[in-house]
Amino acid sequence: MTYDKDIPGWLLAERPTGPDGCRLAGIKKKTGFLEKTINDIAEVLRESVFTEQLAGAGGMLQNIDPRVKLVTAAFLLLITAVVRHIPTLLGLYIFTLMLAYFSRVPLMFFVKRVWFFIPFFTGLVVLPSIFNFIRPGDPFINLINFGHPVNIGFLHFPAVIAITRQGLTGAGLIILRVGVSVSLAVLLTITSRWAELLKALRVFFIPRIFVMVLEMTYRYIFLLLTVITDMYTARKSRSFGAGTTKENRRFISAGIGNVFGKAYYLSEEIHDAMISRGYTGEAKVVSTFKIKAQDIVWIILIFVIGIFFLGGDLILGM
Amino acid sequence: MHIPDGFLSPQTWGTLGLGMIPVWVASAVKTAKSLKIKQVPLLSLGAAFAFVIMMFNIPLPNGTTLHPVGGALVAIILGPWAAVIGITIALVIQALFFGDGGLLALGANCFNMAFVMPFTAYYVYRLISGRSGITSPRRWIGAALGGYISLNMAALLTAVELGIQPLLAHTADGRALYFPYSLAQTVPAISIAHILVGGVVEGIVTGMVVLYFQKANQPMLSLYPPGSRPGEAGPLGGLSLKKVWVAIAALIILSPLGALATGTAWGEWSAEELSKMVGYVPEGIAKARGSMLNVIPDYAIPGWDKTLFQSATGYIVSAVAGLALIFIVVFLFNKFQVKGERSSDIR
Repeated sequence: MTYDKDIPGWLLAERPTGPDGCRLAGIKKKTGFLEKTINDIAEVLRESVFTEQLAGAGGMLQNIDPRVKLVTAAFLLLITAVVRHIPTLLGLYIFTLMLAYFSRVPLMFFVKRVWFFIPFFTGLVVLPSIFNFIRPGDPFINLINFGHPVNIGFLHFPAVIAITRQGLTGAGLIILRVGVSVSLAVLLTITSRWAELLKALRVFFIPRIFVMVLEMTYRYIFLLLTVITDMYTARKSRSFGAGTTKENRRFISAGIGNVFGKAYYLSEEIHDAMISRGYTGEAKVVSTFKIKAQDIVWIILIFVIGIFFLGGDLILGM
Repeated sequence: MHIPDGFLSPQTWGTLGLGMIPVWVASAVKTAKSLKIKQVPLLSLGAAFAFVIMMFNIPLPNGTTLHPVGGALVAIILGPWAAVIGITIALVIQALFFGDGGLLALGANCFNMAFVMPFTAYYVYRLISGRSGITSPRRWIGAALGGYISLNMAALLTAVELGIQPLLAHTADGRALYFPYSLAQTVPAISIAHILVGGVVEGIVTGMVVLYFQKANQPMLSLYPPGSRPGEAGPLGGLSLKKVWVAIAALIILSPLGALATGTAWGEWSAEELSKMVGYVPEGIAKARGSMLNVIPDYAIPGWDKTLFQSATGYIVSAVAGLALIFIVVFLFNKFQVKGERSSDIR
């Protein structure tokens, strides 16, 4: 992990958060829900700190106006959604790698981030669809030949079980499409400061009030996450063993209720604080965005590249 | 239940996204009227809560954990309109920053989880709790059933949206362009999991949190409808159903439009349309390919069909050339940008 030079190493080390996580005779004990929640929250916080670091790295995409970045990302996502050939999607994926390279995003991190989580799941979901008994199609590789159709209860299998050509291309298409879409979304968010990105949403004619709520939400998510971490750490430091399921369930629902109640009273206090600072109910968003020449060049560039991919996709369909 | 980009065809996410617009507008108007100046802080904190509730892992008997969606709880406490905005914002943040659900699929995800789910939960809760007092068991039972039913509704809708994809978009030879499974496959696969596990967890959590409020924080249960005391509000809490019906009617009108759009879906054009649209481009490419093949002498790889090899080479060479061109252009842009950046002030 070379990319987190600014986060102290002891914060990054994967350690069990308590005595519960120890190994017993070589078998790693499942971590309890307390540790899991605390770790999950720590992961969210770590993620956002790391993203802010990358957003400040001064690469190519980082220097583009967030609004322009949002619009061009949406355009490329649209292209990804409509093309229908695997080579086009491969080309688009290579293009996202280029963008990552020029934006000083560590390539290994970028590839791992995209392909480890979502498309892995997608791949599992799509896997059965390549077989001819799930989706009929022209056989590509024959697996089993029963010689006659097989019926097991209500399940009917054809005489020959095969991987179909349609199934394979269809599966490849959907996995690549998800992969490219996720890559574009990841690129957009790791090269922008989150607060700026939320402000930039105004280009999609999103009313000011929504943007204001979004900004405030983003800020208070971190506060609530800290509240939950404190609550769970306090609970953990007071408990021995895992506790009964009933006990745990009661603790969690009381915890959720408690956080909800806190959030509500906090909103009242924030409201009072806003009033005392002169808030009249009119939403105002401070924005310092300025479109520069490079942003306009970038729009044209992305448009031309998008058309290039669309054209290539059409030619493949001939 | 968060649908990623690439699973839905453009006509599906387009229709659902358009359908969400009147719902969002109605919810903004509704909350502005009922919450007035408190709108921004209350909705912000509601949205922040809707986001963090997914952090609560519920231990399951088999040692794994599951997190609640929380849409039902937010709807029951803050009302369905505030829940629409709160959950929408939580979904936006999840999609943008955590890759949970696609950006283009946001409309579809909002439709399932930020519109249908809170409204179902709220009305089930009101129907069962009725005019009962704040400490009545009907309240938590209503909340639990609201959580269970609403999550299953959202799951069913997700399954239907995914299941209609093979009907909407496939090539002539039966190749799926988006999600490959049919309704008969998606509905049981997704619904059973939610009927047996997901919905149960959601129901238990929603019911138990309301039970907690009954014991420890009763004012939270009379926040919505605003200004009401327990026993005063009618079974529907004085909410006008009209807006809901308008939204549903708009969706019904919009959905055939989405179905009609299949006829002109990407790549579904006839050959004439295609040649009209791109005209000369294929010719130029064909020419380029021809000259390229004159340069490259006859290679013969055993087992490779000659024409397939030729056309494949043509494609690969032009694709690599195209990508190289893009690389150079982006590289030049980057160089130019760095120079420009140095001379300009820091933003």
